Amino acid sequence: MSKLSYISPEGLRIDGRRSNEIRRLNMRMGVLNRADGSSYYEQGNTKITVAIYGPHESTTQKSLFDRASIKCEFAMSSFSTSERKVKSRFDKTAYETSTLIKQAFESTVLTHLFPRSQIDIYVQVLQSDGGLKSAAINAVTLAMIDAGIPMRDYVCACSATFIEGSALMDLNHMEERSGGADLLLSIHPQLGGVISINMESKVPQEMFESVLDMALAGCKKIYYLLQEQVKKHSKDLMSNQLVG
Amino acid sequence: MQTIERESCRGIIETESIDQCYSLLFAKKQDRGLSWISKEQYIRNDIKCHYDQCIICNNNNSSNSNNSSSSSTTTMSNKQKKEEQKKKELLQQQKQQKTTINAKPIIIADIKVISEYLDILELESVKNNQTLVVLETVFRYIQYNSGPKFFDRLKKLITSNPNGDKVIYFTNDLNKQTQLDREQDKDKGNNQSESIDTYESRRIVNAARWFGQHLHDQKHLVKVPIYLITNNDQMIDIAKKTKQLGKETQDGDIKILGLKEYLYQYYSGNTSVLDVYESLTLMIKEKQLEEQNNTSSSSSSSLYERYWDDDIKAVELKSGNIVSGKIHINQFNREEAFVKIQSSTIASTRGGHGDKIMIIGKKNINRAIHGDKVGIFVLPESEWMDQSTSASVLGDLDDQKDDMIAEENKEEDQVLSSIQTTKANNKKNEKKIMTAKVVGIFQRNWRDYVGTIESGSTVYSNFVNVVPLDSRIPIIRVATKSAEAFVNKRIIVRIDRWDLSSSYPAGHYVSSVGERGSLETELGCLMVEHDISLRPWSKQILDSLPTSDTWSIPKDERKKRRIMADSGHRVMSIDPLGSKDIDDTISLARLDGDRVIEIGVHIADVTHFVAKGSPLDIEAQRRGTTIYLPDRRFDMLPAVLSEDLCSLWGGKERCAMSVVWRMELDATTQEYKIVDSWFGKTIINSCGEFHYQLAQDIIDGKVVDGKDRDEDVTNGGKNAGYRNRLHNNRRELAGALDLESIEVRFTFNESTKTPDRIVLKSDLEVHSLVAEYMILANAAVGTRIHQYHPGAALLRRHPPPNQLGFSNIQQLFDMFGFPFDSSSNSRLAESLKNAVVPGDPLANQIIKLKTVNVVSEAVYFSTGGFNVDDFYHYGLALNKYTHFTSPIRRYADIIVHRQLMDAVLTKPADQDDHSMAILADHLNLRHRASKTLQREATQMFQSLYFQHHPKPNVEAIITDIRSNSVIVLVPEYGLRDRVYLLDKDGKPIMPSDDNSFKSKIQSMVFNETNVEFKLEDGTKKQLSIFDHIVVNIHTQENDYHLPPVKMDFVQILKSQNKNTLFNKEQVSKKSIVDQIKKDEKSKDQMDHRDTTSNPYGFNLNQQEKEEEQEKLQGGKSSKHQQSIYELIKDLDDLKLEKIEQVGSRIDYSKGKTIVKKEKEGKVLKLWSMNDKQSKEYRTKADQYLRDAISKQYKQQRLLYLKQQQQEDGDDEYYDEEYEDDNEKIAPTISVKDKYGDLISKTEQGHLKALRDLSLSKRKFN
Repeated sequence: MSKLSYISPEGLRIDGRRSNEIRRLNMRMGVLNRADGSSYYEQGNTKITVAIYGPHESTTQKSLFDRASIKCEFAMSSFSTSERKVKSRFDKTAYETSTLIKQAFESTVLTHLFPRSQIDIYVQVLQSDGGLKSAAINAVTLAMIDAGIPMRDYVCACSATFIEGSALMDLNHMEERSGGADLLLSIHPQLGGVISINMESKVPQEMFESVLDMALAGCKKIYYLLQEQVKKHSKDLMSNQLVG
Repeated sequence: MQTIERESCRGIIETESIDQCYSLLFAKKQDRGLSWISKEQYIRNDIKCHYDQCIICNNNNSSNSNNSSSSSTTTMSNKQKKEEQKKKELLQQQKQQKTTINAKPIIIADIKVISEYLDILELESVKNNQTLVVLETVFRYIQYNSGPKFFDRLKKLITSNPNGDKVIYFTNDLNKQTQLDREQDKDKGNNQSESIDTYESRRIVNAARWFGQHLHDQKHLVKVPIYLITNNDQMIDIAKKTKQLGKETQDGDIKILGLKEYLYQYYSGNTSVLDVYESLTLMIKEKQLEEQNNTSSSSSSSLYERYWDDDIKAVELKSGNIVSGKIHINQFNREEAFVKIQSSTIASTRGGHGDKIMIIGKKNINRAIHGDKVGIFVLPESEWMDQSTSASVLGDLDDQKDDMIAEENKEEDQVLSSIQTTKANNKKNEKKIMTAKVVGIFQRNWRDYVGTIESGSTVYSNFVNVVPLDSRIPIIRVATKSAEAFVNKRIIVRIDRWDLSSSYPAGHYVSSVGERGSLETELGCLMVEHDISLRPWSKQILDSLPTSDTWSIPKDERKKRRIMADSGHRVMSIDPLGSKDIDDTISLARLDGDRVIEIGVHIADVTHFVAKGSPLDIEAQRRGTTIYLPDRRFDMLPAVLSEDLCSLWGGKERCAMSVVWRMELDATTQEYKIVDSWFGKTIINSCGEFHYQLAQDIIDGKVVDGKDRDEDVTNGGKNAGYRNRLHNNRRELAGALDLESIEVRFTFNESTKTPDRIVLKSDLEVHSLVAEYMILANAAVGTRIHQYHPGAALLRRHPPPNQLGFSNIQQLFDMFGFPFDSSSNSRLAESLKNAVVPGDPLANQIIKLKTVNVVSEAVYFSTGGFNVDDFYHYGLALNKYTHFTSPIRRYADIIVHRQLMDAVLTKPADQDDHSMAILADHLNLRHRASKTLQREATQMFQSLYFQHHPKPNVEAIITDIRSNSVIVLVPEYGLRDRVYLLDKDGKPIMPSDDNSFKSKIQSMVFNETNVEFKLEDGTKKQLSIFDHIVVNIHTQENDYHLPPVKMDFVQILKSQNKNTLFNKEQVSKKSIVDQIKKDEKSKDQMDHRDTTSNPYGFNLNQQEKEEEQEKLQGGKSSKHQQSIYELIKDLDDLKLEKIEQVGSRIDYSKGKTIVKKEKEGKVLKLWSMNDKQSKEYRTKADQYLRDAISKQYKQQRLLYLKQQQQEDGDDEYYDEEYEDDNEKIAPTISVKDKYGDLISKTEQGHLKALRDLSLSKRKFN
């Protein structure tokens, strides 16, 4: 077998997308009854559910007197990857992702409205096919909106990389494993600020810029789709109320 | 991989061009059982067919280009309008063409055809006469099921032709219209899905059908026959079945054909295509038979060991039991090979024998072919090679090193040198040498091989043995039915496989180069061996070029560019005599009363003519560099550009890329310093092109040019002065620059093999003057583009050499007691400079030559991939260096020009590190290939020359000692080869004509630097490096290779006779080439007349006469050349000491006025002269030169002496010397003597042209 080629002569990626196309999105809000807010989020074959509790009274001693604290727990189901693996709760990558989500939403949620209270985020990955971190952030955004927690803006995240001479948007598992220069970007799409930007490889500046542009365009696309979903969800709620 | 499940998914997809999304489930074999992998598949509706005549798809062409999906609606509508227009135009065009175009058939090939008969599809004649459709199904299958090399070939076939008129890549599986679900197998009635094969066949048939319909729906299109080429019965069945069932009745035009029928239908007249087909078919049949046999019978009869399985290989490689590396086969003994390994691997720590492992014997090499990446298993210590047997083996390796002396591949060189050091170690430690056997192949590295059919083999069987030109490649068994047609021809073959039971690899015939022994064929062979293919320029490219008569600089260019004449710059070029592509010029302007000086380097603006991405650009990139061979040149750019429009001819306005330095006088130190560098496009009008000798004469005050613009002429002289100041400013570079001149020497030696250039030409001050400005420009541009594109600038680096390699050179220095220090480049240069053996100038050259072998090769690279510290250019001692100054003959310079222009205009970079790194690798490869081609072509010419003209009694110098021979350099012919002192049985060979050997040689001892002879009568003799000997040169007959040049030892020259060498004429390569051509022609004529007498008789006599004459002339001229050389040196010394005082007093106008009187104001233009005029001119000019020299220098020295005496009465030293030197000052030299070799060259060129003309006339009549 030859080395995998990620882009065909036609310019298509392995799964048939072009370099500037994101995967299929499938989202639902309010999927769990007991949580204050919840969402189910599919980005390609990556499937995630998020549950949010709060704002409620702080359960720990370390409550903050002027604002709410945010707690995040990120868990991979053992059946989520192609090989079944039981993962400990204190997995390093899980901890990293939960910190990322926590920091992203600490800067987005209007925490000063809820002093001495706490918001809990539980992220459960059902199936993983690349782009976990960005999918988790997007899913949490939907759940936050479902919970009615006031936020400054949406948080949209998208990954991008650089393989075989071109920048690719929204990576799947195979592309993530290619060893290209992966970049994860999360932004406030309306306010226009960058929340986090992660890249672990050293790349020349021009290449970085093209990857960054790609990720930014991906975030904007995702924002547009999220917004549509939120509008649709609100409409559904309204119509349900009218019927009731 | 086999899909288990495929189901449609719900969700939002942001683009409309994706129609549907499926989730696929695969099963993948893992170490422990199966694992499940899920994948997505997006089915699209925006796939184009890419056929160049298709209007429906061309319509979508521009709107769907990558990265532009977010364009606003207004531009979209604009675009659409444009597209509509385009569409209309296309329609019209096609209507017009409809009648004229003879449509090429479209063929859709199935998996088997492509994987087995790709060779045919790659043939130029086939490729141009059809449109091949490669389906995604086929592409993916080959990607998953064949080796990377084959896949690369297919990819290259597709990407080499972006227009879509020859090869089309059609995405059928991701296309809404052609994708198919896997069906349940209806025949069996159970729940199993259909087999992979049927599924593939069905998809191919479906795609072919769609393709046919798609094109036939378009009524405006010319009806093109569409064929589905397959030999697969199942596919034919499917096609028939679906047709019966299906509604598609319009697709009558797709025909299903076997490859054989197709070829016979379309190429029945083209035997070469059919030959290839037959050869391939035989191969495949043979293979099938073999496979059947293999499965039925046991493999006990096989000659070789079976390779290990891939999984085992991978595991063992990880655990360190086997080692992988590239295999290098010994050129002289195909049963010996070695693999270079990483020093970190386990095997290397076991033996401690450096970084190589030997593989001895056919069985152990186990079907590996030179260059393959193999896995080797180290044999138990009991089977390792003994010291005693190793001597001969390593001796052979020494031989190999020898042949690699000039090889660019330093890597190999270093390996071998490490073997030598190991050998030395072994002598002390008595250790055994590690051996291994090949147990698997990681990657085959096969290419096209040139070979000749073995003379003994019967041409009537289906197989013939072909002996490859490259002696490292084994004999290849080629399946062919028409072998008799290839006897005595050089043919190109490819290796297909090597079976366990076969002693030779099996291959197939590709094409024929031509009759062996002829110059053209042998050159063609060399080009194939080095993967250089030069097609004539395509019509598309030639049509896009401006013609030389009508072209002038466009008006808008004038506005954009800086016109150098306006800012007071006077431009001139200095090049070797007779060069036609002038790509660099120098200019000078004095501003603000000499306080400010501007020096400009102007390079031909090739990028003005070669637009990025144009067909010409692509072709130039493919060629990479102009290749200079002894008798011809393969241009990188068409002659219209390289010799005319880009070439910076004097008196014509030309576009240029310029670097201009502004230098200001420092009031305190009285030195000029660079204060500003300007880069940009300019228009220049060169004053004239000088050749090096002329320019040097001008600098030296011997004005020979008849032009009345004295400033132009004196510019050169004044430049020289500034150069010296510049030089002083950058003294730290001095050491480095010396090394650079070795680089020049190196190329001279390798390419032209005429060391005389080093003595006479390279030492001209002008050479270093030009070179230094060019280096300065290159370095400045390198810094600038790196500053602007830090991630993807194309620079050139020269890694420091491996210190280990210097041990050999140390020995040479020790022989003469010179100090040697290689710790830094400047120190090395210093050591080399000082290593001059009195009375033997060649010794220094040999030392330098050998040093060049140690120093590694400079390479292009993209800055993104390297640390800034690694940018260093060792040879030039510069931090950043690039190639900027020769865009006409190097593609790298074109890229650098573009990058510089981007930097100047602050345009965003459009190239990334990835593509630039690929480009840099490509260019390095091209450069290496062209260098090796040049070297081997030279060898070929030498071989052909000596074949017809063996030379007795030629003087040679020993440069190396080997275990059974010495390596000598023959300066007369620039030949470097070995002289055997022991014959094959190890018996000493007596010198054939040496009186000092009174009795037979009893024994010989070969040491590192000398050979000791012991004669039977007890006397001892010694032969050491740098000794001169006399040899006979002749060639050995050989059918399969070029006849190798052999040298026989004749006698040892005594030291007194050494210098006779310099009085001998040095046969120029040109004359060798001419002679060979003459021979060929006479041979042709003789063949025509069909005479039985010796066809060479007449010719040889003539040749001898000519040579005698040449020798007479040459002898004289070199004597005088030497005296001139001394003169120049004298002047140079004088100038360096007292440059300002003495130099300023030289009245440059003197020589000129003399000329002017004679010519009575007539303006002479060197560039407008023809050969005859320039000859006349030189005859006259030289007389004036002689007068001028004597007059000037007598006067000057008198003046100078007077001054000296006035200043210092005691100084009588000069007085005496100058009186003695009077004769030398005005030597009686004629033009013939001075420019003898140059004139003879031009004359020869002229004669050749006349000859060619008459010949062609004769032919015409």
